[in-house]
Amino acid sequence: MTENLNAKLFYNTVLCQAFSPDSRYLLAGNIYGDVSVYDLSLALGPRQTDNEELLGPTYQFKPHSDQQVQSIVTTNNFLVTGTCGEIAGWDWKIVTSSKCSKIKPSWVIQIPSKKDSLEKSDVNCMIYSKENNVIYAGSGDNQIHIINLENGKISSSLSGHTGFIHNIALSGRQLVSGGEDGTVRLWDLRNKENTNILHPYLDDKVARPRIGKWIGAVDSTDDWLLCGGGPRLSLWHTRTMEVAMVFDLPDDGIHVADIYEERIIAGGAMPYLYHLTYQGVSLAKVPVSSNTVYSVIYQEQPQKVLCIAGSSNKIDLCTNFNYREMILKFA
Amino acid sequence: MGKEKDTQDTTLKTNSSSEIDKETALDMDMYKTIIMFEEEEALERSSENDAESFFDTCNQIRNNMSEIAKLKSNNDASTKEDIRELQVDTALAFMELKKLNRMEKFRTKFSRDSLTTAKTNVDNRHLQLQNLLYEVIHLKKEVLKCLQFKSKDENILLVSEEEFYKEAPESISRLETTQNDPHQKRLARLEWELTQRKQLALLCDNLSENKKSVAASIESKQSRLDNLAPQLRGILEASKPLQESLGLPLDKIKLEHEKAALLSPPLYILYAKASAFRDACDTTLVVSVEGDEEEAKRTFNQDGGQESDSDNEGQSENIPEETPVHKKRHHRISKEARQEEKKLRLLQKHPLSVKIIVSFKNDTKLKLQFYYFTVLKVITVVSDLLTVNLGGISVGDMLASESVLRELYPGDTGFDSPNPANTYQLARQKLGTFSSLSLGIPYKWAQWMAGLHFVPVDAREQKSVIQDNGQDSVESVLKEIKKRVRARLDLCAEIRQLESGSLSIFTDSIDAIPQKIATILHKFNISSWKNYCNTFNYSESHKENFMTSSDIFYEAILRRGSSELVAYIAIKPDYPKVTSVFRIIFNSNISAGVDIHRDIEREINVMWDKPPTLSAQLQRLRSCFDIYLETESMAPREKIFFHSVRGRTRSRPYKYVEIGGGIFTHR
Repeated sequence: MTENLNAKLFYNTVLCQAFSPDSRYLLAGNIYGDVSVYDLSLALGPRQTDNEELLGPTYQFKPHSDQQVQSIVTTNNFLVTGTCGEIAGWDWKIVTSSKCSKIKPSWVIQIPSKKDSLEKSDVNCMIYSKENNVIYAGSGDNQIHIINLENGKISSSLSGHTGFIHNIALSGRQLVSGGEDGTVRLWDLRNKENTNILHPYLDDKVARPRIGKWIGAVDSTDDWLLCGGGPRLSLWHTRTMEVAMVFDLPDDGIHVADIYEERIIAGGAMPYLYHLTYQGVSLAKVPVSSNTVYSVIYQEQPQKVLCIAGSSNKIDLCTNFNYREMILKFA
Repeated sequence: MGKEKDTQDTTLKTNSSSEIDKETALDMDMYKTIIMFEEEEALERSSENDAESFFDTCNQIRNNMSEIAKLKSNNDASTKEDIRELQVDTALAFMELKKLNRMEKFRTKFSRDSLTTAKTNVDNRHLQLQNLLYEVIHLKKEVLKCLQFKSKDENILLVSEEEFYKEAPESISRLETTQNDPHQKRLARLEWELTQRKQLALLCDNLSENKKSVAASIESKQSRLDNLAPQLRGILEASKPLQESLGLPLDKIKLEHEKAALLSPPLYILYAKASAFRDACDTTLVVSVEGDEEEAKRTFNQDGGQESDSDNEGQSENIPEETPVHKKRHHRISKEARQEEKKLRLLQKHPLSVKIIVSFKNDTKLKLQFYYFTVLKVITVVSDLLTVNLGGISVGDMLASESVLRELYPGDTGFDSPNPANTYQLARQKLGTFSSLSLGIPYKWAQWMAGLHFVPVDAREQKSVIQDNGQDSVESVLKEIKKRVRARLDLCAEIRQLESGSLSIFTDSIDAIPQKIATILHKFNISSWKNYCNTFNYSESHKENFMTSSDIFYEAILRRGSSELVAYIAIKPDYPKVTSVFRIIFNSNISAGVDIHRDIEREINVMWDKPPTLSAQLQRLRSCFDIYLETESMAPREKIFFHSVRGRTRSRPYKYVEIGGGIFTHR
């Protein structure tokens, strides 16, 4: 059966990653329902280079058996994992200890499923807002749920998308979401209402009908909105809602798009992670282990590191954003 | 000149004496006496005085001559007289000289004579001396010879003196006489030796006489026994029908056991275990010993000596290796020959082998022949699967004997010898790898069966070996082999069916299999590792190699409408325990990312609760292809599913659930 297990890992896909609040640990969740915990100081510290074997996780646990770990988010006290139909909180102290494998969830919040559906809805992406202690969860039931962690209830839901939510991004009081229906929607969080809708698949410069209309990744700043997916990766001006820049990347779909300090980090169904300027000049082209990149996270302190994961058993680490420093294996 | 004068003088004298005829004899006598007298006179006179008188006379003559000359120059008449007188004087002086001369002559003669006598005397003495010296040398040699003479008795080893005095009777030892006389002592000891030897010789004769008589008795007994053998054989022969009628194959077993005793120890263990297993559990098993019995006997007898011999060889082998290469040509030739011989020796196998035949239904038989390599110390297997014709083109390789038993246990490919030492042994003789020598296949389980345990090169293997390290290794291995062959036969049947294009209906599988599928299996045929590598740009060195050259490769073409999918299938040696691996490619009119293939492959290769059959996998592949086409709206939707894509991975509902008429959901 070990053969089969190896084969299973060969087809592994890592969907999400997060850092622990103390920035010492990297966590990653995969489609088989496992979460791997890596001690970053161990991974980035000096070690024997002659060993061909990739470094595996420090700890590992299975929060949702037979389910995918679709999203992970960090709050001060808990690691929150999102899977089909529920989100669960896990105590950091236990997650980052050797008792990790026998961990029980600290709390579980069910995501209500639609009445006419047999299936539970996915939690494809989550964002934690520290000030109100809420989690915004982009869900498979086409809604964005706002979950209050004080009482563990869904305080409200933003609905409007006609397809499942791929990705959401928060900037100030504004939430941006992208979904399978091909729209990018802007939400005012004070009034909980949809302020604007974008249809990138209708724009000739951006659309790629061959791949589809779905929006895989969104991000925004006060002035700019970045989105991509089936359509090309494009930068939109928020006030005018016009395309400012279309990035020409050799991808088969964008799944990761981030604005980070005047640079755009983009990944997806291509074997590279691109760092671009707003003008579309490529700053770096980092080769990655995965066919498709589903998750990119980064932190500056205490150690600058950028982690790339996707459809492979490997997680790529860059300490300098411009090249791949090392590779971890999921299991 | 003096002599001439002398002879002249004598002639003159004789002339003068001849004047007196008659008195010749007297004259002669006279002459002699004069001579004698003169001789005596000469001896009496001293030569010194004569010399003085000679000088005086000479001076007188000289003076006289000068006087005469002076007188003559004066030319005086008166001097005539004086001259005359002087002339006479001078003449006399001459006479005197003559006399002196004669005297001198005599003396010379005399002294010469005395010299010769003295010389002869000396010569005689010298000769005598030499004779004497020679005699001395000769005598010395003789003495030396005498001294060197060895008596025969010195070579005789005698008992020590103490022993001699202790044991010899008084009559021989004679203590008083021999005590102080070494010669007598020696004689006595020799005598004692002689008597003792005589006694021993007598004893020896007696004993050999005894021996002869015993030998004769043995011979007679032997002949009696020999006579007995044919009788016994007759009895045995006569008993055979009885044994057969009673169903007791005693003789056959006995013969077999005799043969087995000649087996090398590992093979003997194997034989013993296998036959025990046959007797206890499985009567259909055939276990037998084959090979040249005579040669086995020979090796069996040599065995003791050979063991130490080979050890020596090992040590001495190093030495010629180290000798420099620039040796002479004929040396090298002999060296090559020697090396050839060494190679042959290294690859020597035991003349006897064990044959095990495992029977299956439908007259299918697996013949396993076990050989033991005496120097390499490893067991190899030559297997032969005898099947009734199963037909089908692509089945061929699947039932090839080597492929059937490949990786019976994980990692046991049999490419390399499990004895780690062999690598070095073969390398030293430059023989290449074990598998290239076609010596049979050194499976690890064969070693286990024979009780041979080697240190595995891979540390992880150690554990698995320990698990299997039991008394029942033969049983478990044979069970495993049976299972494997049955699985192979089933697989063949399955493939035959697939080749004919029909997919069997599944009901027994745990994993639900959809039945209503639009995609059809267009073609199913055999492929190859090379083909696979070419298609996927794949190499053995690839990190994540789930496919290896030891797998059996097939190619399936699936079709729905104009859409086509090609699946490359690697059937593992341990199928169905280990799932076959599929790799897929869409034809050019379907555009799909790498991860689309990956998702489908994951679904087919991994997502099973228990190892699926090839057909089940193919069936699922068909449904997956259907689903993909339908979710992409490339084919009319026939299946029931709620969402065509789900999650950030945009995965397809490949999972089949038997609810209602069967629905497809996402994982």
